[in-house]
Amino acid sequence: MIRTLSFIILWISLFSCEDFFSTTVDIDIPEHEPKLVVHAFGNTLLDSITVLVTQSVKINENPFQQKNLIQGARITIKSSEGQEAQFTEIVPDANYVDYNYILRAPNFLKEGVQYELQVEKDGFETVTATQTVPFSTRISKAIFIKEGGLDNDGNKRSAVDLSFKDPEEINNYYEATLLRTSNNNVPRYFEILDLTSTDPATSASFDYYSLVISDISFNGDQKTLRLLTWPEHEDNQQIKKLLFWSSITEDHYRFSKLAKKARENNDNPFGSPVLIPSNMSNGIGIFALAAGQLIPVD
Amino acid sequence: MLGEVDVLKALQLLPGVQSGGEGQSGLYIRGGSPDQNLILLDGVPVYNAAHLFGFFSVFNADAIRDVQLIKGGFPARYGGRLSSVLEINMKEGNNKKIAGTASIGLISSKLTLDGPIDDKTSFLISGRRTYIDMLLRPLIKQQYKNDNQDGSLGYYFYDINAKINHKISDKDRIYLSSYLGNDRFNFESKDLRGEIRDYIKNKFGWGNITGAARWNHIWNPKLFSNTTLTYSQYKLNFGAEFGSRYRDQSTIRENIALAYISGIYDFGAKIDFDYLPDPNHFIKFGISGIHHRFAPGTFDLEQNDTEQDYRFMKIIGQKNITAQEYGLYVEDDMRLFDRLKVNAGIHISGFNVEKQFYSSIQPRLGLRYLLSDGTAIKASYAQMRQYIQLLAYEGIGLPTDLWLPTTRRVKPQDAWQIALGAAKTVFEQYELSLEGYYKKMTNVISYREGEGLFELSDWQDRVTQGNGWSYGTELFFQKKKGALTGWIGYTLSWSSRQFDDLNFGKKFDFKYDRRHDFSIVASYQLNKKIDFSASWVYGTGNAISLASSNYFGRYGYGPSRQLFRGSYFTERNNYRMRSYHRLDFGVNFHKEKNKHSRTWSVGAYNAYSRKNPFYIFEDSDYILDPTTGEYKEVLQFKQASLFPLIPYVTYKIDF
Repeated sequence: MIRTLSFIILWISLFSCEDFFSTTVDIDIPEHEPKLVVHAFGNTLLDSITVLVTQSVKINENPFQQKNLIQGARITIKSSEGQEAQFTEIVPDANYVDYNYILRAPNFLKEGVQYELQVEKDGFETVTATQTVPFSTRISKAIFIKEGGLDNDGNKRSAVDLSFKDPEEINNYYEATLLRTSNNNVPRYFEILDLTSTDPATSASFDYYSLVISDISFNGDQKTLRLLTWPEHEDNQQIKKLLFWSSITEDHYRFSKLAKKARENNDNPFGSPVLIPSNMSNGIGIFALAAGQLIPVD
Repeated sequence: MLGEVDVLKALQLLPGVQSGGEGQSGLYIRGGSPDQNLILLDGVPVYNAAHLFGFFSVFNADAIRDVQLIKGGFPARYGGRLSSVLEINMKEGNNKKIAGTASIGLISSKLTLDGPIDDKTSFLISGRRTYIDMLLRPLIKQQYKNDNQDGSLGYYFYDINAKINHKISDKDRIYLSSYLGNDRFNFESKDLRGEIRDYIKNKFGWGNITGAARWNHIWNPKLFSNTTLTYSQYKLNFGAEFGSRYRDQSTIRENIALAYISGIYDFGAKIDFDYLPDPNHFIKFGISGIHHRFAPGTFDLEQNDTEQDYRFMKIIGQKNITAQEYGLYVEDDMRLFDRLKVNAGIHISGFNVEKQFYSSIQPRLGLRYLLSDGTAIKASYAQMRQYIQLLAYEGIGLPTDLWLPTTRRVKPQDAWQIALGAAKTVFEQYELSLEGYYKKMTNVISYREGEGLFELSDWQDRVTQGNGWSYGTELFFQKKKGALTGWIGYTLSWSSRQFDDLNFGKKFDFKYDRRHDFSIVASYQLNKKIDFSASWVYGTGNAISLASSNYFGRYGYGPSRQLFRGSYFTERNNYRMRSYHRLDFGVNFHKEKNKHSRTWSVGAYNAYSRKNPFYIFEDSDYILDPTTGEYKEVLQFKQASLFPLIPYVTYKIDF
């Protein structure tokens, strides 16, 4: 009897194992109603505000394939001081789309002023978002250190040492990007240098090159930050390093951190899902305004 | 499972007790997480009750005397956890003759011996080890050899239970008990050819050690005491090393080594008194203290490069935290009237950490009223506080999950629970019970959005605290006597969580919120030589987060703009995986021999090979679009399952 039972069990098990571990299941895809997706970034240092407007697709569609760019949208930005401007639609380069609407208006953004962005498109709910440009923080020292020490992986690094007085009473957030350029003005031709830091107040930005910083651990204090970068080997005097230092909003900071986490967790089936924050009413995306400075550090 | 009798898996068949998922031995009791269960082995807390990533529990059934699970209405003598108390006691050793049990199964073998040392002392020792690593070793060696390499790959776990019971006098007895268990995974390979030969070594291990020394003293016929000293440790270590050597193998060319260690270490002492002043009162009171040391994780990095003459060593870690936990209780199990029994008590706890002292007063009340038709009405209320918690991924329980304390920043967890039920015995052999409960939890802990374990920042920056709710009804119908015995259990329940920092602050379903949980267990004794057993379980699918849409987005202004694919989630845990169901069966063939008895057991896990969901993942495929003639990427969602039908056979001898 044991022999018979064992044989039956073995046979059933071998038969039933076929294609067991990789099974495509039919799942009911959640209901999807297309929404406008708006990513709008502006900085007082730049002479334009650019916006990418797309629409959301079902979860079994790859949005990178079709891009789903929205044409014919009406985008308006209004300031609390009564200024109003319309964005212009552009035809983006088919190979590299990073915005499809632009507002060329130098000096339109001012520190401490609130702006409302409104995106209208037939067939979609009107999307709005509001942001206030933060006040910039004066950098009292920014020097380049050739022997900057070791990073967390034990690599030798050069460094940029920064000092500033963090404004009191409010939470402040910053973004730092290091550029290498031969142009001292707002750089049009530049190379982005990788930045890291062992300071716990910093974390890698969504783009991995930059750092985002929260003042939660030094609110209102005089702060010195050491930002690490790859060591320089050439002695070309024409090459200059510029720190693109921006005061950013809390929405921008959270979006940067969580969108990065979402990308990192994407391929981890055991990782917790990351809900990317959105500050768009009736839509998806981020409206982020920043006050920037360009600081020579050579 | 695989012929292993598993205490925790057996408990998962009871109403109100759920498993986390396929093969998991973690207990989710009335909407609580596994760390909210106080698991005591001979009175010592056990921090990690799982072997093999949760597929087996650490409790060797051959060494266990009894198991008691309390899901609510905790007596005041228990404290420190929110959801349940699971008390497991080891056998005390046969004091008349040497006896034993030996078994050989598909994955492990066990040996248990117990017996007298002298007329006042008895012992028990039991050991278990898996041996799939030993069986596969020659095959793996050959595979490496074919690739001009030498190496090994293996996993095993073992555990040892030991106990000594010594009678000093008629009034005094001492017990020494200990548990030691470890899981070990290793992977190693090295090149056997070339001038420069690469190598890699990985080791991953985790395990518990517990120890208890208990002195039982009878002060007088009405007063007894147990004084216990305890030790408990759970440690995880991970080591990875890779590099290259020159051909002579004696000189390292380049080597990078990373080690990670985390753990929890407890020393405890307690004294418990039982006092019976009269037949209507059974009073228990006592005091306890535990010194905890938490090691939240240290990375030790070492790099050597002989060609570049470069050497680097660094230890990056989080500081150890010590804390002291205190408990004081008194309870009275009293009969107030003929039909009314009351268990009333109070548990007072304190926790001293980082120069901060937390304290809590937790009233406990249990009532049992017997109606004239034999129906018992039960009601209970309990408040609980928990000072230590397991910081775990939502995905699955892993040995890397960290036990961490309440600190100045992380507040203790609290809960209260009420339960109301009725139980009735019918025709002497059937028992029917129905119980409803409501539980509210505060300061439950979770990782913040997207945060995880292997980060260098302070763990306190990576967690958030919120609230939890759980309520439901449990039905239990049991047949206790006759050739056919077994039970039917059904639970209807809801469980949810709310954190300001998760799900945009909105309430969401707990991952293990299970609307329906059903189990039927039957055992039939055909005759003295053959018995059958079978169980069937059904549960609503676990909640997972599935995006409602995808989109194409962009980050940044100016110099470093980046494009990305985003997924938009309407809320956390918004989607249910397929329901879970499974049939297991087994047959035991017993035979009495001259000096021993033997049992052959055969059976199957997941008898109809149900493809139960373990997780869902995204996959992509390219399909030719006939209209454009171009290949188009189509995303698909696939379910990974773990175990198909798995047969087992074991052989056991009792002597």
